[in-house]
Amino acid sequence: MMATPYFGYILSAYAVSAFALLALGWHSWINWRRGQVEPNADGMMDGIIDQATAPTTPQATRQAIAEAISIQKEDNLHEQS
Amino acid sequence: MFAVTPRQLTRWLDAAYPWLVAVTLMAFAVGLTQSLVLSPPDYQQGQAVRILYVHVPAAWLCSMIYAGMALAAGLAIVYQAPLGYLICQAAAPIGLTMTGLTLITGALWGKPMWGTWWVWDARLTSVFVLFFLYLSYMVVAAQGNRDEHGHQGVLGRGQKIGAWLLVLGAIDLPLIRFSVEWWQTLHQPASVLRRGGVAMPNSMLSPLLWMALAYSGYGLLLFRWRLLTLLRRHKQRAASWRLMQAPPPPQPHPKQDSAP
Repeated sequence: MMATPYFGYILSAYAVSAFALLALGWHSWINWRRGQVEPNADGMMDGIIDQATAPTTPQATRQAIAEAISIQKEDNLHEQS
Repeated sequence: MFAVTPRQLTRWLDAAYPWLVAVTLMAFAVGLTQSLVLSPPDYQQGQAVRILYVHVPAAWLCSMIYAGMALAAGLAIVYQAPLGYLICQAAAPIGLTMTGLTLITGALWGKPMWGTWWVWDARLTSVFVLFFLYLSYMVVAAQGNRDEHGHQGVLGRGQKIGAWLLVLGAIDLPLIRFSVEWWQTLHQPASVLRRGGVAMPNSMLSPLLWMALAYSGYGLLLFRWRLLTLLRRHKQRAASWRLMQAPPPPQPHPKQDSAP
């Protein structure tokens, strides 16, 4: 295989392509996975509650959403100040 | 769009997802086996022809992605549709990567075949311009990414300026396509998409088409992941903006009998 003419050029072309596509794939996939959450009633709070800690009862869901809203609001105020 | 809503688009992308994964994996398996093992060396290029099996699909995709982005940008400008801007934002890094790969793998093929890494001929230069069009769009879209209140957002003035840049930059696409016909170039004319039929044997056309299918499937997978991430961020920020603008909720009355 090493004796193949232009082996270095062929290897470089495939290696660069694989690296670039896998790197972009990893970046895209990991961000998508982080955002996967339980569906909710109004469809607006996707992603704020992490799937691993998603509440199981309606009361707990309301509490979690209220907490998430306050965190989000605080972040926004902090960014503005 | 536009008759397509984010929810509909998400549903279509979700429905196609398992098929897309399966087809992409199969196409890569078949395409790589054929391009690296089974396909014969070219009588002039020898083994270096194998580089074209990763160069040509990337070249096809970088133009097609830009065409799709320019169309989405145009529709977003005309119909004031945020989904069009999000589509452009999701697709831009994929197009940039494909253009970069086209240039790099082209140089790796050009050195042994032409004796040089690079020449400023019409085809190479127009693809080089495409690379900077993608880059310029991404920079512009990221810089102006704030709403009129100064809040950081997924959509903003930069997206609109970037959309105009995409539409105007589409003039580069026919230049890329027809550069090898309009001017004398070192780059050879088209061998597949040409008048008079395909000018290559099936033993070389087959790996090329399998790899093109694999790249397209993978590009769609990347697009799905990136678009869903952007839609989620857009919803989050839209929700937080509404909360910021909403009147504060009524505070509960302190209990009279509570301890001081």
